[in-house]
Amino acid sequence: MPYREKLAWLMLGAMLVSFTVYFAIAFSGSIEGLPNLRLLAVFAGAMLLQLVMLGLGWLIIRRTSGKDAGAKPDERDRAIANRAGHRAYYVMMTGLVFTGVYLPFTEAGWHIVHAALLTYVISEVVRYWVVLRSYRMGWHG
Amino acid sequence: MAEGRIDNQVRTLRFLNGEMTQAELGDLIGVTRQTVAAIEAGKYSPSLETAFRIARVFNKPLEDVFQWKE
Repeated sequence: MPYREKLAWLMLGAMLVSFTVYFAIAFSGSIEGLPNLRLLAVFAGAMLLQLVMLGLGWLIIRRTSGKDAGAKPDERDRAIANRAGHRAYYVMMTGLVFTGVYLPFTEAGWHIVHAALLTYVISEVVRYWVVLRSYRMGWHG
Repeated sequence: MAEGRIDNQVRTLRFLNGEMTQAELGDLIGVTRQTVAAIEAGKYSPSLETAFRIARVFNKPLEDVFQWKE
């Protein structure tokens, strides 16, 4: 498995775990009425979890990848990264337009913040999914 | 748009050239071993420059290394 494919799996997994934890707590109703600082603390905790997973995972992947870890991205790596970023950009823009233009008329406060966060998560999932699919199934550019 | 695919003889030429490994070929043309593997498996079409570099390594015309099949 290419080094960058392993990294994509790691980043996808870490992000899904940390944001699943965050949204599960945020939408559980257990923090309704709490001051903003408490919800921010939950978010900080989820980000710390993601950072720890990424740090440990990167160290393990780097150790087990040997020479591949130090190699610069080649033309295929760059092409796949560009393609994935391109697709994720459109998802991000769609979500941001929905969050920034439509939601302020129907929602307020943390609902808009969570919608923006969800937009970010979905666009990143799309990015990593395109990367993984391009490595696994092949892509001819 | 014309339907077709690119076939290649990279794997065969590698073996005929002193059983060159994918990593060795990758080092010569500036791509990773996994990219060479993807090219051989037909999962990735190299850029024109990389295709020419591969042909040059094996001292073959481009058409002997890569073929367009309809």
